[in-house]
Amino acid sequence: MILVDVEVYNRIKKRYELLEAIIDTGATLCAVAKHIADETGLPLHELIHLWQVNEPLTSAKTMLKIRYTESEYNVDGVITDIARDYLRPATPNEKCQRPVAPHPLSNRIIVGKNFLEELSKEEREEILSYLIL
Amino acid sequence: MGVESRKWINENIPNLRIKYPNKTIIVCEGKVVKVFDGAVDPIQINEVAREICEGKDWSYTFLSKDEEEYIL
Repeated sequence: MILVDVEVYNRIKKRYELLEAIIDTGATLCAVAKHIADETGLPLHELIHLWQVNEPLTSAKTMLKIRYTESEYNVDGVITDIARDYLRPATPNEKCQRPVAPHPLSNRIIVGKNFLEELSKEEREEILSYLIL
Repeated sequence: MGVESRKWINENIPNLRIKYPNKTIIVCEGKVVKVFDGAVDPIQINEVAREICEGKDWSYTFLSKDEEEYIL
């Protein structure tokens, strides 16, 4: 897992908040949990229909203003509601083996391919090099 | 932005997971300056870090014992 820091503009407090971000090259868009979206005043746009591994996902689109190093980017994202029962079994007969742990997006965001594409080649290479530390 | 603190976290994460299992830490200039139980709302972390790391390079992370094994 590659973790970086980005700053996301908080439209309510009119300042940037430093957020830990998971780099997800397989995610088309950035993703933010609803409680973080609410606290930072992210706008709710139209619902979009996405594909994930085992089932489709419908989420509200939003626009994030992200600052990384010295530059600022406006990128699309989705707001995802972390289900209270996210530790549920995947199928009725499966016993969930995952440890009881906070949802990965409870305290961080995902930055997807659409953000990485905004960066310079050098910045992308630097970020991806964190994987082999 | 916490460029140096993030780098320090990424370099030390295996040891930090052992020392601070299932804790959230705030790191400021290469030192752990605050420890919380569990995962903490990042906006609250920003509030705390603004006070204790004012004007300094800082970062945070949650150190799950085994989270990475269960993320696709």
